[in-house]
Amino acid sequence: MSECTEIRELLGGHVLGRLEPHEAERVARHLETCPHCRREREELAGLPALLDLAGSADAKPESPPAALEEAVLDRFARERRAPSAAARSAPRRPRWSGRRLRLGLAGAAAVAVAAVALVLSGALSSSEGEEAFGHVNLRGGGATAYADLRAVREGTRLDLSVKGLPSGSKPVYQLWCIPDRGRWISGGTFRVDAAGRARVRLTSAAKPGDYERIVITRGEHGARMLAGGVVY
Amino acid sequence: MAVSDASLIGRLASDPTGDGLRTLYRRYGGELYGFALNALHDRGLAEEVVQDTFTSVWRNAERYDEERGSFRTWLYALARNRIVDLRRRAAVRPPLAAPGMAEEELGGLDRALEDALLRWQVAASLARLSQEHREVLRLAHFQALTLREIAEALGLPLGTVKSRTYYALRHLRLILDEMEVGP
Repeated sequence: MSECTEIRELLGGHVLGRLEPHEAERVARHLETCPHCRREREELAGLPALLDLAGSADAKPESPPAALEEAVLDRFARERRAPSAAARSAPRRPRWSGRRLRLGLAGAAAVAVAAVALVLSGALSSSEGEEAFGHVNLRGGGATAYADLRAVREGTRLDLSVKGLPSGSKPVYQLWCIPDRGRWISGGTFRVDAAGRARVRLTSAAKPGDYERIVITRGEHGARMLAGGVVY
Repeated sequence: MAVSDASLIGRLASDPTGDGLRTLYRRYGGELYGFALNALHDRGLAEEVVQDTFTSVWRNAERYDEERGSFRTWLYALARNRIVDLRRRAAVRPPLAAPGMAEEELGGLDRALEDALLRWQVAASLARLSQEHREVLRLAHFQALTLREIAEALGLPLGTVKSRTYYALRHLRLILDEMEVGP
């Protein structure tokens, strides 16, 4: 084994400062005369400081939830579909602005979703600030939520704050914009923290004026309705 | 051979399937989420950052210039902007902030974000090492054992421990290079 080969096998321990004293001296003497091994050592020399940043050799980074990939792609698909239609509708004032609110979820029960018991009160007000054309209070199953609605090029942007949703087994929740008739339009998925809270910004391809209610379901496919609020 | 990031971005505008975006997400979504979580300590907000960042990627795909930097650099710049927005949204402003305070705060935030990114990258690199490589680094660096003590503890020849430690660091360096973490 050549001197350089032997020294290189010691470089790991040398960089980490874990060689016996006589080995460390041998490496140091060799490095004084060997530019190749010196360069090799320089490449590794910054690693101990980087390792300190990690704090542990087993600090496993947390993976994103599987649903996030679909949420990213779902938004891509919705926003790619939406621009031309949304651009036409954006300038007009939402047709429900200023009207009284209708409370209850009776209409939503007609949709093929197994609704769980919930009490709902909803409120949609006229514009608050420059862009928000309304807000919705959602209630049901012990959960309360609030969402600001803004007309955007893609449809509707919803800034949702929610608390009190069940957090056991880390469920995925989904927000939906629901027209009086026709298909539900997803606003995307989200998760809650251990206390059942979340604050998320979601975008739906649903255009202002084209839906009547907003609900939150458990499960990515709207399997179980948990809370809702009425838009009228 | 894998399609380059730049090629995928170039095709996003005319890609109705989303396959290009899916490939980019699978390459970078995990680390971006880890970075955002490290910076914000909130899973919901971290997911929001990832969603918004990838949305910015395809909306601004035509602005990406490979010659000005890697896709990863651009991606993290977009994510960093979103994180700054979120932190500002959450921050309670002091009532009588001195002039220039905002810039100082922003500088501090940038440093904190850089640290968060680096912490995540090192942890993610360690996770990609083999169990044997991670073990020698745990014992040598974090538990401060000499290589001789490690050989005794693991019942391995000293020569094996020496070469394993060297190759563990070499591999770690290689992974960090892939992540564009400098020496």
